Amino acid sequence: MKISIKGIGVLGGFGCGIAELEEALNAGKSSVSTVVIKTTAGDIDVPAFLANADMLESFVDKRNLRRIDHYTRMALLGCYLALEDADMLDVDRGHMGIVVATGYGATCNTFDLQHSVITEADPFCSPTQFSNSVHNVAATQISILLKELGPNLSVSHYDMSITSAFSSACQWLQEERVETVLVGGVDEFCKILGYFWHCLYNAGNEKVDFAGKKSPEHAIIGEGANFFVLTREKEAASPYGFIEAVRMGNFERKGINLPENAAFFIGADGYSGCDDKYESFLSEKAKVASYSHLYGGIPVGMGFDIAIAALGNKAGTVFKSAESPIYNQGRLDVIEHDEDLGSKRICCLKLGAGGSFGWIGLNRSNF
Amino acid sequence: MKPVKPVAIAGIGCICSAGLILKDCIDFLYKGERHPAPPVNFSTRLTFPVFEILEDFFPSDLIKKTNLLRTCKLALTATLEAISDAELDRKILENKRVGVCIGTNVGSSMNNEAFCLDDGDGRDPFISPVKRFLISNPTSSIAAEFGTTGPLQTVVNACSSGSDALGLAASWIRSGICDVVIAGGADEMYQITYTGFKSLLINDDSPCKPFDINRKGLNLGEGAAIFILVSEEILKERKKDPRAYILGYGSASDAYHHTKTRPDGKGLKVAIQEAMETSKMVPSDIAFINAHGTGTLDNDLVESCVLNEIFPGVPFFSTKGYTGHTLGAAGAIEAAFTIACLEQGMVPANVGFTTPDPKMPPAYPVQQNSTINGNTALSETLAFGGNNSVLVLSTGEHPA
Repeated sequence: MKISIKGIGVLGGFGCGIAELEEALNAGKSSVSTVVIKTTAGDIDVPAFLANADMLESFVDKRNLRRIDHYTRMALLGCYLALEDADMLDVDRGHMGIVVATGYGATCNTFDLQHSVITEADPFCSPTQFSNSVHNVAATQISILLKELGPNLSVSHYDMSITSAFSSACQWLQEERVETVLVGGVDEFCKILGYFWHCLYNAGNEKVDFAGKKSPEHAIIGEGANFFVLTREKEAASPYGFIEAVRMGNFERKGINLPENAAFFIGADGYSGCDDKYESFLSEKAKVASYSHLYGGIPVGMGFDIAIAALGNKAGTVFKSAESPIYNQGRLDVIEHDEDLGSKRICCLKLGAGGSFGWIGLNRSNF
Repeated sequence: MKPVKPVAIAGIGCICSAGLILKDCIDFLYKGERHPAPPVNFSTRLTFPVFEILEDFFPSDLIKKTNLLRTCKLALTATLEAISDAELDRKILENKRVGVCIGTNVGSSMNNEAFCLDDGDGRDPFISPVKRFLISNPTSSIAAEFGTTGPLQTVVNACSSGSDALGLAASWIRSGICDVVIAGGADEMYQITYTGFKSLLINDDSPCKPFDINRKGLNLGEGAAIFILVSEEILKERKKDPRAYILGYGSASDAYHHTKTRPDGKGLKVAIQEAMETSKMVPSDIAFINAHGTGTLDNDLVESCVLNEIFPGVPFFSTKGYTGHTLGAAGAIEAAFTIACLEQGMVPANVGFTTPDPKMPPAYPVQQNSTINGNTALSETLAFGGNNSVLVLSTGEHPA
């Protein structure tokens, strides 16, 4: 496989763009917001890594953003940042495909819509709200604003959404269906997810700071978007490196074959119920890192790990990890300080519900 | 676009309001019957007719986990038929590289009426419905039931999801990622989409009339169709001819509007071109076209113009008058009907069409059951978001 990453666009609790992601990596933390949700028992405070998509107005005229909600704005901004990073904003992008992954879709809008339809006496909903609740709304808006007539795919498979999206993106490039693919993920915070978090993890309404969180079970909800420009590559070198392999399967039924000579970026974020299982698939003293302390618990979080891996390829560095989400650290070699990447590849690994797994391997070299 | 290898279809299962198995569905179509009625599976004061499955269809004695969303039950029911049709041992599904690729709308949305009702009544809602949403969709249900270990993908491309899932699954076979793929689409009738389509003013308050001058919109439906795609190796092991082939697939965006069809049909034309080029077919190879034909003003006008331009004289029809628009399942259900029609050598009348629309080209849909010549046909779907997907399907001999 000779598919390279040409551009990266990210936004999340850490900020907006790769420079702010790198700053957060260096600082080892992102800022946590608190969202107040009303319940019959009183207000509850829910911590969340929230994303600000205001920068989108530097790419798209305000008038064209009037009916576009926060979910789609995040996706759009991720795309524009990725295209800008790839220096492809104003050039002919050729025949481009679009693949958008989401775990939950436009949750704020969807829950509001459901609420109005189910609880109102008169069955009515706003047509704009309905069309904005369709799961492919982000991909639609991206194709409209970018005027892209190529293949357009939306996938929604919870924690495996990113692997699934990258699998199709790479497939399209290998089949020469397209010359370029804009692929990535988006998910948003909503009060229902906040309430869900509260019920599962914080019934005592204690304020939880991620840096000092009590145990790996306590995750912080995240939101944001991560997008990438992928192309077929003839050159042996590419700054962000190459997508070497994309694999999906079921670890409960068939285990996982992981690549050798790799640093592993694990998707432990406190949510999946799988955080304590990663260790059993990694060899003794495997190099391992987790970065969910920067972006939070979010189904498409693996996209941020891919961005961090690509930045690491460019810098020749493996960035320091958070410690808290990694179980049985004594068996593993947790990357506590920035390290030289050397000849290692990076494997972003995610375990999910029902025993599903996905991993994406990145390599600095094309050989 | 480079030509691609045909991918064998070993078995098909289909369930919708026209029938609980594919044979019954196609017989129902040939009879020219249809029975749309206001919904009964959920409460609403609206009375737009829909095509619901009213029978107790789910074979709970054959399925391990039964506390599932209706969309998952539809998908599993069709999967059982497809596996039986393919004469595949369930053990093969556990031992080979088997992927699952399913298109859906509602199955991947938040079906949490109980949650909303609790919330609306001022109670703190119980989170079970949300939790169920977080772990349940038709792809995962099929993988869990049959113990598959390959890749999983849930396609949410609105109404073209089922066609796209089949096209993507064929790629998994061609590239060697999988030996077998369980692919298709599934969607249940649901209050949100029912009300949502009404808000867009594209529901017909009478049985829908695709391509007719008096068409007023669509009727919603529900169902699932599942295909078993197999590699050459599995085909040799089975020692049984495949039922049909996916010869080509194309998809393209309109880049135009969330819910309206692009007036010049450019996205659809690009998708057709890709499907024809990848399958190495020319228009004269196409025996008929199973059109999207929703019965909405815009869709049918654009689609008839594009078909007349690219495939002049090729018979076309819509089956949505018999099944309603089954959204994420539509592309798969109509692909199943396309193959069944090729096998029978006959296409059904485009029910609901009586009077031509002078705005459309003078090419009318099939008005009575008609015999066809040829073994290759097109199935096309258009979707919200401007997605256009086209499959080229064949029952002829196409050694891979």
